[in-house]
Amino acid sequence: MSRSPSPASSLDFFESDPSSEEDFIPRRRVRKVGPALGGSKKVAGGPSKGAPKIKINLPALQRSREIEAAHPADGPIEEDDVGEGDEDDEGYFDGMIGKRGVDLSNQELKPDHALRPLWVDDKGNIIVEAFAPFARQAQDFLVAIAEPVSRPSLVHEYRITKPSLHSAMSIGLETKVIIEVLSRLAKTPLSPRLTARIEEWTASFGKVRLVLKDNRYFLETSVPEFLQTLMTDEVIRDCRVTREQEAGPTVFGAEQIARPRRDFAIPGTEEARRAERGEADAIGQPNRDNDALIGAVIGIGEADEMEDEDDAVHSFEVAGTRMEDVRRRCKDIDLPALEEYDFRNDTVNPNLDIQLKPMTVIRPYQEMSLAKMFGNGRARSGIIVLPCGAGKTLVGITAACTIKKSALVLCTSAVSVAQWKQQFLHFSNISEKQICAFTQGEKEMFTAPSGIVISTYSMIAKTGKRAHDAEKMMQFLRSREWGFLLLDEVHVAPADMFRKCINNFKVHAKLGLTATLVREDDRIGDLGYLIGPKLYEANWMDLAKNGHIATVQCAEVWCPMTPEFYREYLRNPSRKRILLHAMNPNKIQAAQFLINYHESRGDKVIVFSDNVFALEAYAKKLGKSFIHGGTPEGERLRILSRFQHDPNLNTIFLSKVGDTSIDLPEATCLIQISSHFGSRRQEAQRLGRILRAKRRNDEGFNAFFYSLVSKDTQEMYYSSKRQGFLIDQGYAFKVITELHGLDSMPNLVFPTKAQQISLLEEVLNTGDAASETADHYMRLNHGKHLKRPAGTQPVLSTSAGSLPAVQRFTAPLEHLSGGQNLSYREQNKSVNKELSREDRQNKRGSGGNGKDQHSLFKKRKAEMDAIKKQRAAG
Amino acid sequence: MSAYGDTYNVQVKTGVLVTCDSAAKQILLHLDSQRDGPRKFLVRDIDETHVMIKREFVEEIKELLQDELEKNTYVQDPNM
Repeated sequence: MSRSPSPASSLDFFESDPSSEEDFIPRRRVRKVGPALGGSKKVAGGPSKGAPKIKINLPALQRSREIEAAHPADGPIEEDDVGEGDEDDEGYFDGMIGKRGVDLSNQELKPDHALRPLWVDDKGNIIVEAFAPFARQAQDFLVAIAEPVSRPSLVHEYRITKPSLHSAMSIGLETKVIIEVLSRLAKTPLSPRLTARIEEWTASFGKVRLVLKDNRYFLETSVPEFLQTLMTDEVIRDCRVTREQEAGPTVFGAEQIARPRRDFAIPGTEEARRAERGEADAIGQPNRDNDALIGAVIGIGEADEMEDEDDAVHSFEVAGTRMEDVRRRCKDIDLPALEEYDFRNDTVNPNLDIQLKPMTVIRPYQEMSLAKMFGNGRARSGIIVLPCGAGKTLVGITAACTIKKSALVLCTSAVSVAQWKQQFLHFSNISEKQICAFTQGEKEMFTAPSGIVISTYSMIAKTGKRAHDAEKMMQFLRSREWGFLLLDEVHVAPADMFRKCINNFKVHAKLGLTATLVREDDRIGDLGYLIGPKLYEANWMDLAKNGHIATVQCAEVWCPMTPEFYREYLRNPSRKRILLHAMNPNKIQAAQFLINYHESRGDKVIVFSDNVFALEAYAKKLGKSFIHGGTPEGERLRILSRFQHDPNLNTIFLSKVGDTSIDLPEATCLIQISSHFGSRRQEAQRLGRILRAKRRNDEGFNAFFYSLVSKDTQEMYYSSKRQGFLIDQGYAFKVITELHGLDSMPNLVFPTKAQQISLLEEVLNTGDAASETADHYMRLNHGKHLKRPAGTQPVLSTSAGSLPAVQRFTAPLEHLSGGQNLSYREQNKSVNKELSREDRQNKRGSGGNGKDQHSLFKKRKAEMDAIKKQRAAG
Repeated sequence: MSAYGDTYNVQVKTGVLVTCDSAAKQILLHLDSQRDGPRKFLVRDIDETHVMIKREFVEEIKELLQDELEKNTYVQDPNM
């Protein structure tokens, strides 16, 4: 390991073995310090010359080392951003330590560094000491200007990127302020490289706005030079509209508008409540206190804000029909236009009478996210990121209540359409006439001048022929001007579909809601362009601490592969491997153990498996009910309601269908046995299933999230990858290598080698379809429920007319005579069927007395029913 | 004629006894099964956790085994 003769090498932790685990954190922290400046001017020359003073905050380092020891799971992420930073030549740094760290220990610390929480390097990486006195305020600021990279409990990591600075600009922060505050919060002086970069990145953005006012689009800017650039640009010039009747301002492009301040309250907040009560004096008092506090340290106060307000805004009008061109062109010439909606001055679109009900209280973080959206008195388009179960819906509804114009809500499925509608009615005073759903089944139009329409992405983006009424509905939607477009779960729909949804409608403000702004493809960047920047991202750990979402214990259980399974695993092509590591007998045993353990504690358990074959096999073997794409709707509902209410049914197995659309507040434990490769989004969505656990506010309550992983297989790789997102949110995954008490458990499945081998045989003999992680029922059978996937069971009888295609399989001779495990199969009866049989019996039992009713009673019953019906009708 | 059937036909082979977990042993067997002729390294498959391999292959096998296990380790892309 080559190491430059840095003066810091005299410190013990630089001398220790670089590959050992426990010392690398301190070294990294030091790297974060950023190259020297301010104190000395000979920085570039190299620190080794001028015998610099080493002032490292040793107590802090020591502390961070302890933190590291206490939170071992934080380790891996800390490693991640080494050597990142686009075009930077690594050689820039004076002292490099190995590959991992950069020695920047020659940095001069500010005398009062202990109070300042940030370490900032010159690439824009920021480390926050979340335990520092002003960390709270620093984080509020950082959330605005930087992307959170990872937020474990004590040391947080942020990164300043171009889009994040753009978001900052979009909420009205100026470059000057950003640099000023950053340098005040940092323990060391900022590097000139970083300030130069921030200046460069923010130079153009956020200065140009696209405003829809009185149904006319205006390009606004507060910087006259940009106005010149825009007006002389050939594309935009063509799009410009000049109106003769109001010659003055538009010709010179200098319509003067003072930038308004937020002088209205977001409904549902404490502020609004007080205003209603007439305590005008007290408005915003607590906030002011906070500002003053941070102002004392970082020195931005009212003065800066006042200055902003005096800025003159220049604008000119552009043709509404050519918006697309203007937007694109603005982006091309590096002057991306922000879209804002001055909804209070919009007199053309009728107001919608919608208010939050007085009982509705929004939580502090919801208020904060909305404050970002309505920061300067106009509605900004953008994306708000909140964890599942943290009340995204309420944020959306409150935004709609603030704008008070016709709104269009798009979500992912008909189920969530119904949920949104119900939530709107629950939280706001909107009348049922004014809110309508547009789905396959329901096609209503509101008759009032304004209203809310809720629909799904697929309904809106559908191409091809539509039914007559759907077409009429679409025309209705297209013909109107919408004040507000709300996009639920924005991460799911691919970008093409989005473009259609958004471009089809005349919309003033757009708001995207999601829990997980990650996709495994690169499409997430498109969202920024289509909807707007990320306005707010909540800190999961904070929410959990305050009881807004459940506290979750995450664990990864390593199940060793049995030698037989592993041998086949190595020999088989990768498609088959999925099934082999999912069906690992040790894993089934671990699942059984965990289910038993948690059921006995009174937990409600959900088991997720992407692989439907494994799902059914597990569920049948363990005698639990299951739901996958092929489960009929009725059966699904029956199982779900049983799971919610029946104390005897505590475990259900769910396939991919349960990832998002099924809402089960009863569930408190989640076990994952097979998953969709390395999808971080899926992992987070699944965790979301237990975040809203009903019992979350009980003292010391924990929800449990287990991920069962077969050791030494691909699963290990994907599992670590999947956890990335959650770890960045501050979750720590414990690794469990051995479940105590597993061996002594009674009724353990597959206890003997022979049974395991026969399981292996079964697995190897299944068709290829079974090894897919996709819920293939959804595609193949169009929801028709087959007993089992084709090819699982070699069927010998010829009486079954519609057999699946011929399957080749290798099997011992006993198979042909049915002498193997075939005859025992029926012992594992599907619990699903049992449930429906029970239900039928119950129905029969409650309907009449006994099985057979006398015809006299039947007749009388029919008569009574008829009378009842008549009464209801009349 | 089998080497073990005939008590007089005693063969002496040198090798290295490898103790590993059952998964690693399966990987070794798998690696061996992909080779033929003089490149085969397995001397004797003893039990679940022990195998005997030829001495000259030890370093090479160590490396191959490491590679195989490394495949399942996720290293976070620093640029994500």
